[in-house]
Amino acid sequence: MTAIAQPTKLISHERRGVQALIFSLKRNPWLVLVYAVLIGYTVISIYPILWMLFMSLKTNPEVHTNLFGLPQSWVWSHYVHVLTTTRVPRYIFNSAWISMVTVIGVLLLSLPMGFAFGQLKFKGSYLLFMLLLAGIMIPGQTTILPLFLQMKRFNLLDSPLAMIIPYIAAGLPFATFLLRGFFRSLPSELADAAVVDGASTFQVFWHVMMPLTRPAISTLVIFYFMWTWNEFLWAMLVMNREIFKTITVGIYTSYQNQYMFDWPLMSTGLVIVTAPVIVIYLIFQKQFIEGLTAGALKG
Amino acid sequence: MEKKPRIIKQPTRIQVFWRKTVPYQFIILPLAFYFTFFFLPALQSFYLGLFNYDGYSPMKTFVGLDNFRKIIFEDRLFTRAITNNIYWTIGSLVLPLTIGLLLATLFNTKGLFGRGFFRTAIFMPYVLSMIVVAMLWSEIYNPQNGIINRLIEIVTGNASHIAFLGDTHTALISVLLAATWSAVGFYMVIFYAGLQTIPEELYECASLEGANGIQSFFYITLPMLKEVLTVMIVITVIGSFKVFDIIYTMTHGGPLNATEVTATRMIAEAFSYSRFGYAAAYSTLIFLIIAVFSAIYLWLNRRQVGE
Repeated sequence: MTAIAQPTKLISHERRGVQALIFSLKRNPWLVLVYAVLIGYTVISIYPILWMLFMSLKTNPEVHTNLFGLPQSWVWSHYVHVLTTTRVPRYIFNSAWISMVTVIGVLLLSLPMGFAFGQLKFKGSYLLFMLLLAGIMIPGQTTILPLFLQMKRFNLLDSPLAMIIPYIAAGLPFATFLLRGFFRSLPSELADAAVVDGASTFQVFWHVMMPLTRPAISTLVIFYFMWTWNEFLWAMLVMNREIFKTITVGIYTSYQNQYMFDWPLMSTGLVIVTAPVIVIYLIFQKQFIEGLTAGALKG
Repeated sequence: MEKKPRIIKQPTRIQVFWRKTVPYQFIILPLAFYFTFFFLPALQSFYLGLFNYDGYSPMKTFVGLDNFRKIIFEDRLFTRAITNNIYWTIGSLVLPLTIGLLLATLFNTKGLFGRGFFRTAIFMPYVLSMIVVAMLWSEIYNPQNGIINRLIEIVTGNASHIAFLGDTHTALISVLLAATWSAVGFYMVIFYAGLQTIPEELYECASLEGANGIQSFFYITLPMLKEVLTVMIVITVIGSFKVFDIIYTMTHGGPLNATEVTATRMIAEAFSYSRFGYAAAYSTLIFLIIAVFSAIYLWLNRRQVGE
């Protein structure tokens, strides 16, 4: 469109790759400095992660002779060792299913609340919502001790429920807040039309409104999956049984005990913890960053 | 929504009640769950702080505010921990926040190529678990064979075996640098989102008037970013009083309590020394500190929340 009105823009638009880069540098020489800083910081960001990956593929003597570079020969035996002789696969499995159950739980409980607070009018809704929102302000540390005693009283310590239940409860304020905003933005005519056709409020929620919140749901899924996967403090406190340990706690305790000084093996464990998160991040970057931005700027 | 004129039979009382309470049916179970497992424990924490309790035996002794008195006036480690929290707050405002803001500003330069790549790369450390960050950086700081000591060797030519995490003078700042590494991407992304809301005409106008890049940063970017900046500062302060994972895994509060913060103290009191009541009083104090900053935060954010 603009090409017709502004022919100069067309020209600059058609430059691609290196040519465009040189063109932009000629127009604004300061860009060289900008690139230098950004590339410099990118190296700082990425190199430690790559270093960890390289380290996991090196042999033990190589750690001393070749600390910085690529592995001389790519040794996969650490991965074989970690995945076949240790409990790491079990930890991964635990983390995966506990994270998934948490995500599903958060959604199942926060969707109806988000809908009610966002679309329905009822007495006390503002007060109840504010009480819920106060949860975002309560630091995790404040709930830890009574929650621990509560779990003990219910005899839930060392059971996966001791992790899942508090994770879900802690996730509700922010999830409800995000969904409420989303439900509010949907036109109420949608609901009215469905009601005229004879739908109940529940049907309106489930069949009309819910499918429209898919973007918010995908943001929440990724956000909470990663959060649960990375959680450490609570998982460490309530879970002492090896078979239910999550990957963060499992890696931390087992490496503290045995592999502290075996860098390639330790790095292998770290790569295994990190790989799923990085893959999910690379695929769903947009949703993840949107969720964070919403959390920081609106929550 | 309750208009249903076609009903011929008079609805029974139960039906009327059911229809009237529809909105509450949506929220009652989730809210009950939330109150039981989140809100109530938070309140119990205040109550627990008034007792001497080891967390195991059935004995609970009411001691009133004695725990608080002991913590504030007698517990030297509390003073140390609070001081470290304050150092950590200042450090987090100086390092990740500032670096993130600078990177976001550079990132916002017109005509920049490869934005997607830079963002992906710089944000990546943030998705790593704190455990991974902590263990990775413990290797990087290693006195025998860590990257940093090796780099110092290469630059100066002398063998270097600095125990960054083992020395009381360097431990806290070393942990803070590791945390900075992981957090910068977060700040950059948020600030970049804030920068994009600033209309470009302002910059064009300023450059027509002869302002250089640094001037437009201080006279346009910063004032326009005021809201985002204040919110981020408050988030940073709140986060600094909550910090736990990375310190616990890297130094365990050591060496010689040099990196002790309130959260590590609280966990140690409860789970190493079985002083649950005392630890609960600790957590109440943390809560009160954070509540002050949260109130500021809510107040700054009142427009979005209260609408």
